[in-house]
Amino acid sequence: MNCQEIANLMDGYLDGELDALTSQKIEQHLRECSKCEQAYEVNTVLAHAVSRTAPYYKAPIELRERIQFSLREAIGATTSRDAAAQDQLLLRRPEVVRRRVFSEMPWNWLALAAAIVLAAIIGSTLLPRLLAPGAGQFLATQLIASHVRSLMASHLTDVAS
Amino acid sequence: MAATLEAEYVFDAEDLESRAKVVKFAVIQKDAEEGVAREHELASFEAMMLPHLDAAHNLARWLMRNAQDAQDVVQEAYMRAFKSFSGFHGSNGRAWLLTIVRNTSYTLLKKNRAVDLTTTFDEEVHATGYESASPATILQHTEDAELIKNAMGELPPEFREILTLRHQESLSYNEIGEILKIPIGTVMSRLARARGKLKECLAARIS
Repeated sequence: MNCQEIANLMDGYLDGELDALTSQKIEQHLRECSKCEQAYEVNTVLAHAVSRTAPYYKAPIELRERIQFSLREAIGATTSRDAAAQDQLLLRRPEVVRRRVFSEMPWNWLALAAAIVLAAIIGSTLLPRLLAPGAGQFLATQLIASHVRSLMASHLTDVAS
Repeated sequence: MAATLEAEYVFDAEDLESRAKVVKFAVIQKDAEEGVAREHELASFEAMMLPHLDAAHNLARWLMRNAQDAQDVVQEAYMRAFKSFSGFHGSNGRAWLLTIVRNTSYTLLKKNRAVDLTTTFDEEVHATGYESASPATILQHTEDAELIKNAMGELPPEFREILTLRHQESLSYNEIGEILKIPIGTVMSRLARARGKLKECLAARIS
């Protein structure tokens, strides 16, 4: 590689953007050529000056707040404008609105109401019957209880003797 | 007859009011759903883009060379970015945002002072020899923040932006190429010209 080729590739070399083989060739040239080596040093110093010495302008806190406010305003403004448009429609054409009330009512609300009514009917008719213990069940409970009592009695005697 | 009419009127009015409420409720419900969706979008936008606010401001500040203009540009850029956020599906949010900041900056620069953009750099005329300033001389002055700032501010915007993207944001050639819409080879040659010109400006200020 001659000095002109090195000069063309030097920035890529400095930024670590070249492939390994080309980088190696440039490295070798820089070791042998003081003129190119000096130019490379200047470029390195310049790069450092820009990255470290030149001011980095961080965003002021007010800017962040201003942006966040504007963004909220942007999504809020469209909502209220839509609502206003709907209100006007409501005021201007009451007849149309009246006729379409039922069809515009969401079906899931109607379904929910129907489900509640059905549940109430089922609950009031079936639940008392399910909860009341039948005559047969009462007898079974009595039998089990007396059996358990008899077992408990013999168990107590066992411990005593 | 009069009484009947009156009764009908009252019934009608009540009916209309209650039905209007039902419709209004449905409208509010729909609005609330849309509002929630918008808030979700805003939340993800902010989570993705606000971390790059400093980078956005720094680029705008170097391009505009003026604190007020830089803030206006960044605010405008964020509003533009939010509007087209639904169309953004890439992974590099910073590069995407910086592209918008850059475009917004140039729009304002063109509007404010068209002259600024026509100061294109002539490589032949400005070709710098290695001997124009010795590394030692430049090295002595690289800690001088004011000098570096002024010398960099003197450069045309295309050099100011590429220097700040490369050295302050540490972006790769690939990312810079994406933001400036130029091929990687051009990124390298433009950086070389930018550094050459900066060197020249520094040397002129030192001597």
